[in-house]
Amino acid sequence: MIGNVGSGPHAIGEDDLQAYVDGLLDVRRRSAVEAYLALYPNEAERVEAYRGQNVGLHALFDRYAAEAADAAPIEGLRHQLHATVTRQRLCRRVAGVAACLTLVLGAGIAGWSGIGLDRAPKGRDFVAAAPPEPIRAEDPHAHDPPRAAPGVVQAGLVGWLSQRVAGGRAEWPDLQPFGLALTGERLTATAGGLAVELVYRGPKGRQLALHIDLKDDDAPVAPPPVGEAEIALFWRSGPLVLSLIGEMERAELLGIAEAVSDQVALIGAGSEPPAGGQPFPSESLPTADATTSVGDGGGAQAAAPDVVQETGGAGAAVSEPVPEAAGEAATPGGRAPAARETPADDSGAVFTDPEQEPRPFSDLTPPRPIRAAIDPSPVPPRAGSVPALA
Amino acid sequence: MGLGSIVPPRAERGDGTTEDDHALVDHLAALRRYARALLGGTAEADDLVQECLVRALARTSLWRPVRNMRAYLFTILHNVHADRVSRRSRTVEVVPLDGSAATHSSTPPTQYGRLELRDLALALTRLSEEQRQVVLLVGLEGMSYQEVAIVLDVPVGTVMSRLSRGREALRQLMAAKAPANLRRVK
Repeated sequence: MIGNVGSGPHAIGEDDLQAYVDGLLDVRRRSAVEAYLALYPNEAERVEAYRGQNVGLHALFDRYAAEAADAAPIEGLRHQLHATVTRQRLCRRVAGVAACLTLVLGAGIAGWSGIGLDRAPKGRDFVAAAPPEPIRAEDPHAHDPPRAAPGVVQAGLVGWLSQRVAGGRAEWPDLQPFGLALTGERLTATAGGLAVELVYRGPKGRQLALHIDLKDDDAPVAPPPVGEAEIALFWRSGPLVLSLIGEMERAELLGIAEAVSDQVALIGAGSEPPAGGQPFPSESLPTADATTSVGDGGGAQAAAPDVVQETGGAGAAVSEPVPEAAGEAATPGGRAPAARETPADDSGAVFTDPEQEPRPFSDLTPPRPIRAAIDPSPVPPRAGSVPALA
Repeated sequence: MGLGSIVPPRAERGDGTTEDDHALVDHLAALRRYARALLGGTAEADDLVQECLVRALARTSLWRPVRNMRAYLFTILHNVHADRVSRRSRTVEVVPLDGSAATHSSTPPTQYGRLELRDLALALTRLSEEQRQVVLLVGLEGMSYQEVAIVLDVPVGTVMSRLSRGREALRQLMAAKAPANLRRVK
């Protein structure tokens, strides 16, 4: 309150005059202010000038709002934000259901080019039946965007994912029910933020790669390249893009995707990890060398589309329409652990040594550059690693 | 202060969509208008809005719904702007009120003409950025004082104070009053 004019409980103050200018007073108060202004012409003139300022500001700047729809980059981001908000609503509507996926079934190169998966996922939203999400106490500051440290806006995004995903509070999806153990994990810093690459292995060389990527821009989400006998699922969960690449039946992979989605939901919400989890080791937080790990995998980038296309027999088998696949996935509880053993010898496209027992991912030679699958820029195939697919 | 205390729960429409969905376009248009008015440059303003949206996307979790999307977006916009200002190691220039910019002495009419609009735009640039933010958020974007307080992360009383002083400064600038006449607002 800058000051009051008059006295008593009904005195007109500066706040009243400002609120009168902005039309924020109720009828009674507005009448009181008008009566006051009738008595004090100077104040009336001042208030009138302020009202004129509001009108003038609109006259000056409203045209920029009208132009906003023409700003292409902003419009692209708006679509993304709209999609996120829409999915938020969907998640709220299906109370207790943690999984809220936009599933895009990508399989075989034959599917890529024709489907037009170049922007927001065009698959259907699908809500998988899942155990109710535990109710968490609402953090009053949960919606307050954190103020990034001055000078490092980009680091704010990275730090956000570090805190949310790898800050020691999160744990990676547990796929033991599927007979898959987490055997490798690493962080890779990318141009767009931070990516997490996880490798799960099961008996007899069954392997699965899970890639969690923070997409902080509107770059197109490209389907990951897959080998002959592999299929890949990728979907967006808020700012995270998740990819599952495995060498198994689509139905089984969809079942795993359900489980991953449920658990990533908890990660994404920054919740405390459930008991018994494996906290992400803090020493694995991004370092300078971590940024080079993507490039290190360059030799393996031959798993890229062209190579697969040459061999691509099995690719066709998994390029069926997405809705069917999503329907299968929505069947609850149908995914028995380790439902099917994948032959280890027919395609080494993902991991070159499928007979190995579980071991740290860092030992893999060469590491699969899954990041390249998400990178919108196409990676030219190299002839060097064709033997892996031959 | 919770955002939900300001904006009533959004109504669900018959078609299953919410007001927020439909308002998102308006929010972004307002963001761009506000950024343009605050910064004075279209390219820089668009860049600011773009980064704001990127950040909003990165921070919007499916499981932590944003209750007041407009306040949320404007808050992020201000944070991005604050980061940029500090990154450049320069603060927005604050020009003292000397009234020298205004060249006419008539009382500004309610409906501004072309010249008056130009004077208003010029006077706006002479406000301190704190005052300009409040004047724009209230006068241009139509936010409530409480909403502005959230966006700028200051008490409501500070919002009122900046609003009152900013408006009076604009009036004085446009009326070409000397600084000596810039009386304390009653």
